[in-house]
Amino acid sequence: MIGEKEPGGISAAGLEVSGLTKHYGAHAAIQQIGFRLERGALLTLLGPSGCGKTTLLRAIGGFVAADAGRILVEGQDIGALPPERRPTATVFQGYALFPHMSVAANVAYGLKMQRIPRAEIAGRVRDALAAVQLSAMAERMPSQLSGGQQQRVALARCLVVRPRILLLDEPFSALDRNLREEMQVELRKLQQRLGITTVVVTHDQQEAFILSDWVAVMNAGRLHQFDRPAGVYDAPATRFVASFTGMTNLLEGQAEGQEFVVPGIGRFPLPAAAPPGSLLGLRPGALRLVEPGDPAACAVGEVGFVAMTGAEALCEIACPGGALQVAVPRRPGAPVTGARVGVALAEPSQAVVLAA
Amino acid sequence: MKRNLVALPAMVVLAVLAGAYGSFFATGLLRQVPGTASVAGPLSLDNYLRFLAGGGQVPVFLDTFGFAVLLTLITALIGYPLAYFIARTESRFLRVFFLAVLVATFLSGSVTRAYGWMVILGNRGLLNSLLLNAGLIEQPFRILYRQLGVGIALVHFLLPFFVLTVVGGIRNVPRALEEASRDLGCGPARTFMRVTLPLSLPAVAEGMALSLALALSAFLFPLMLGGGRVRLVANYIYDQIFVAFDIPFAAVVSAGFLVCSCAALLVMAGLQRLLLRRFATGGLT
Repeated sequence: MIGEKEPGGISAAGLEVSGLTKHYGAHAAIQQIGFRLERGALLTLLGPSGCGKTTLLRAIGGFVAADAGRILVEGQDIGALPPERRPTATVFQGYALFPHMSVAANVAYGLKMQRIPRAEIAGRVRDALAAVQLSAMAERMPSQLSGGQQQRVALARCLVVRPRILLLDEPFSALDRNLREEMQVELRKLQQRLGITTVVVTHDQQEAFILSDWVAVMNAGRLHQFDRPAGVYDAPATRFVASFTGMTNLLEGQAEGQEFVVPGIGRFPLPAAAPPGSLLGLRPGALRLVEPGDPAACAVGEVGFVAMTGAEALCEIACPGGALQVAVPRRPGAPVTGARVGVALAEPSQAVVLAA
Repeated sequence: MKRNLVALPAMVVLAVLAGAYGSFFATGLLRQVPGTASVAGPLSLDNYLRFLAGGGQVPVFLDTFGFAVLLTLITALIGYPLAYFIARTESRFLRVFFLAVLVATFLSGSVTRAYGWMVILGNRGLLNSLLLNAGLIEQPFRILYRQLGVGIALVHFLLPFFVLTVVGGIRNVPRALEEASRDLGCGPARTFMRVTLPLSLPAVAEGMALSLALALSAFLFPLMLGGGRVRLVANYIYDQIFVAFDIPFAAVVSAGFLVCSCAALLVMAGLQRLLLRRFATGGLT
């Protein structure tokens, strides 16, 4: 689980975590978490609720005292520091703006703590609000802002103190879809422009893929995969990562030569060696529908449920040994419920062999 | 229209309460039949004019307001840390235990409590015996029958009102705000001063207003523990009715007292607003 080598041979990573463990009673919230993130990179912690991603973020921010393990920011061990002395700044879920202070006072808060001269504070607050396009709102109270604007204030309040690590806890979950996508792109651009090492917690794989340089997929307190977004998508390391990122066809079977035989469903060409006990993982988009007699057909079944998802229709193909999910482009002559169809691989390289 | 109908029962209750008060004040327009407790016409403003000219009540008013403000401040100073502890302790047991003790003092009657304080604070009471036996003092330290004793009993009486009001206010300050403050480089003490305290200020103001109103209207504790030397407005009014039999003047004094009390509460509300506005622009550092 090693990040890229630093350019110029600087050994200290932007953020390095090793052996991080936190128990609540007998329950392990996070266990032996370790990764290394280069400076200026954006990492998302991806997983379902209760997987420990927020605990990990709070441990980095100093709000959770880990039982064991180390947290290094640019080579400095911050594990023993209280939150106010860590070089981190957090955008909290729900933003946690100070409701009794104006937008400008919220943004100035961290600077006042650093005893920076008044004139400089005013300039930096102005710049930070300009960076998030909220210059006109400086004198408003947080309650007078929309959700998206509140979030920008929370971001400006963090950026203005120039933290070495920016932490964001489910930053977009309260926004509606259009605004969410807009803010994701905006955050990413801002983060790249400022070159600030960033960790984002999310449960939304789409968000993780849009934002990230690196994705850490977590479940039940463990780190399942630390990889590039494409690596997580194309080569999920575990069965959990596969199913959490939308690989809905996880087939049990046996390797026979170059083929993977799934009882009651069919035979699929193998992309790699499959030791006994392996699963074959296929995304709905990696499959296509063909005539039942087509030589490329790996399985034959009957179209069951069809759901429209936008540009595609998601079909459930009922085979004797189970069902396959297939995403097909929506166009005239699309399959109808009850039709007999063959299922073929759209792109053989998209099949993934998973250890059980 | 429908909303007005719903408000009807509340308005009836208010009308009865206001009417009861109003009739008392109207009594102030009548005059005492000399040597008796009865009142008679004709209507005149004589009693009100006597009050405004300072009919012997001015020192009592000043004493009462000074005493009540002092007690309110002491209550707030003792009560806030207590409320903070109850609101923020990690231990559910301790929170419930402290709240239960407070509610228990609520439930015990005032007369019982006044006697309790006599037993503790009297010249031969528990406290003095302890201090004498320990050799810390040679003469009993007089606590009862002066403002000190009345003050102790009243603060004890006011504390649960203040604390129970403020606990809710502190618990309503989201932890995330305190964390955000720490995150931005502010230590625990300054986080308290800049975030927790200002955000719980409305509840503190409420608790102080409640304490002030209760302290101003204190009657039983000064009567029982003041030994006639601590006379507050309520006792003065009582004397006007049951000693001087001058019910009209008593009515005028209570009307005047009500106006002064309302003014005091308004001043407090104004101070609170002023303070919050200064926080809004980050002016308080």
